[in-house]
Amino acid sequence: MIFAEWHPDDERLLGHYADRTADQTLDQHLAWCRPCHRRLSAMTRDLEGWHLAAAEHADEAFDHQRLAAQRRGIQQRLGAAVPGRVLPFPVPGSPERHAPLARVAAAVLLVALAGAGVFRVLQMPERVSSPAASRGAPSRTTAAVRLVREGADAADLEDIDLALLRPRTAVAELRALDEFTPHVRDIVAPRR
Amino acid sequence: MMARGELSAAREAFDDIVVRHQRRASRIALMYLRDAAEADEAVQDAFVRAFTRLETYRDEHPFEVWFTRILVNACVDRQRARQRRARRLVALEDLAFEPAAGRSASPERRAVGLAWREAVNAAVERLPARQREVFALCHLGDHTPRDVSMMTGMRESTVRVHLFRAVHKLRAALGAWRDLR
Repeated sequence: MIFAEWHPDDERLLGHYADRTADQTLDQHLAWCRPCHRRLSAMTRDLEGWHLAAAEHADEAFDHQRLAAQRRGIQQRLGAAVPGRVLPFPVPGSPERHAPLARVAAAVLLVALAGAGVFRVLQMPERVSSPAASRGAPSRTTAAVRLVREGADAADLEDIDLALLRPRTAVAELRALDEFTPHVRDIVAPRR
Repeated sequence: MMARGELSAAREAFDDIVVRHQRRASRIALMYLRDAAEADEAVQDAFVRAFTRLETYRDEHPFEVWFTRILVNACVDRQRARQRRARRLVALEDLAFEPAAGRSASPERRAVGLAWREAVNAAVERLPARQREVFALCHLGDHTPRDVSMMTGMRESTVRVHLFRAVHKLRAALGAWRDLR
């Protein structure tokens, strides 16, 4: 018999399974060679079993809900992926054309109301000031002068400190500064 | 640029394509990436890429082949990004893996079924990356070695060798289960 001494190896059988196309030589051989037919059947059973196991596993991980969520995700990303939003071209006389005017009028009204509110708030502080203000506390100007003077005194003292710290401060400079300083002798002397 | 109506119609039509291919794509991506969340992202990436490049599709190859090539690239990109992040791979055992409720099989049968599936997945996971890739595309994706060659850029003979080695290893690893099932 032809092909009596020939038997396909596993690779050939697997190729036959994977290609899903007719292999005339192999088909003829398998038609009469029971051992090879059994080998192919066993291989097919293994492959189908693995396929089923892997597919079941994947299908449980990707159930209907997950697949639906996946489709939604794709649709959302497709919406974002396509650049540019297509805006409708305004048609004369269409109701859409009046929409911006209404929005502008509303904005103007809001600004006017807000302005009136701010004006009223600016008028309020004199009436809603603290009780100290109504008891004749120093005016805003007096307080400012005081603050400036305190600042000047602090600056004078700082100048003196700096002059003392300076390594080459002349005695004459210190004396000049001393002239501005009240002395104990001036206060004590009249008592004698 | 497409008009709004055309775009919307294109998206709706594409949704049918998604429905038709997403399950198979998810299976392949899961076997490729071994992580359901990553696989989900890769499938989405692939469909979005396919949609934005639809004009490059030539019908000399089936859509499945063209799309699966995009999917494989998306999986590879994810894999590389994952490697860059040096994130630990999620083992298959950690995935949500509860059997469907109301299944008619007995508890013993279900337990054996679960153990069998875990054994298969573990054996597939131990395959070298190329062998696993070819196995997933040929076997789970139901593609011929010629298709896989077009998808991956490998020579058809190389695909066949990888497939054969993968099957040989799996048969050796899972041989003990033959009588138990």
